[in-house]
Amino acid sequence: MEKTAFIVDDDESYRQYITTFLSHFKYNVKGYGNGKDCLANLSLDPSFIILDHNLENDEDGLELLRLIKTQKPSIPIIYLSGQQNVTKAVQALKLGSMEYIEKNGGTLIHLKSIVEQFENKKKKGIAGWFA
Amino acid sequence: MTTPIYNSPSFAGNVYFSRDTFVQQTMNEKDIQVALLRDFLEFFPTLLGNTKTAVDQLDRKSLKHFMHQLKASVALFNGVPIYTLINTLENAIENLGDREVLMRSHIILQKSEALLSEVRKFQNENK
Repeated sequence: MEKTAFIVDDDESYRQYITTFLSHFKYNVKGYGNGKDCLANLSLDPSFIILDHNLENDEDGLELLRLIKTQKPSIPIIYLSGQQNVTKAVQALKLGSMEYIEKNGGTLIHLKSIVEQFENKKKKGIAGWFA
Repeated sequence: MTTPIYNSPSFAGNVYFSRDTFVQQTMNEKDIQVALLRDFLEFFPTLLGNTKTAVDQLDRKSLKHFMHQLKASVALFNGVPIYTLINTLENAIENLGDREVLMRSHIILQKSEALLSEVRKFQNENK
């Protein structure tokens, strides 16, 4: 089955970097610049959503996180921010984000480790089911 | 902690682009490296152009917006000195005078142009 992931970020270049990176891990990545487009496509059931704090038209990523969690609480969210802001990280985690990543020189390594952990958990879940 | 190979013949003169970190971030996977370099070289010049326009117009809101995006792109290619400069400007932009904003922005743009040249050189050498 094809794995889908979303990247929601107002920065087109960053959406492309993440798409390129995750494509290497066989994800079909859908990129959106705003919350409306992301919410309209939740029926695609992404394996996870990478959500940036800054979205188009000054939209707030935390508000979108809340809306996603209301509509599809089971979708894991990886919250992304270009700012070293602990308050935002805590808020994102409180709203149900699985992880918080800062955009810096270690972002891709961090993202890879989260995706691997996430996939391992899924595998273990299936193994547990048949045990 | 990685040490950039500034003294290796292929990367002599690199100041802003750390090959080591890029290789580490991309798990030494050539196909990811090629694709990310292609993406960077496609988007970064436009981003630089948008930032320059915001600087020329001294439009602080746009400047903050594009500097923020510039910072994210720079970080992927380990432009650490530039990343730090942008971070400082971003955090202080509301409290700085016009002259200070312009001076800092020009320095960031100059260094970002240098990063772009270094990445282009790296791509050419690794074709």
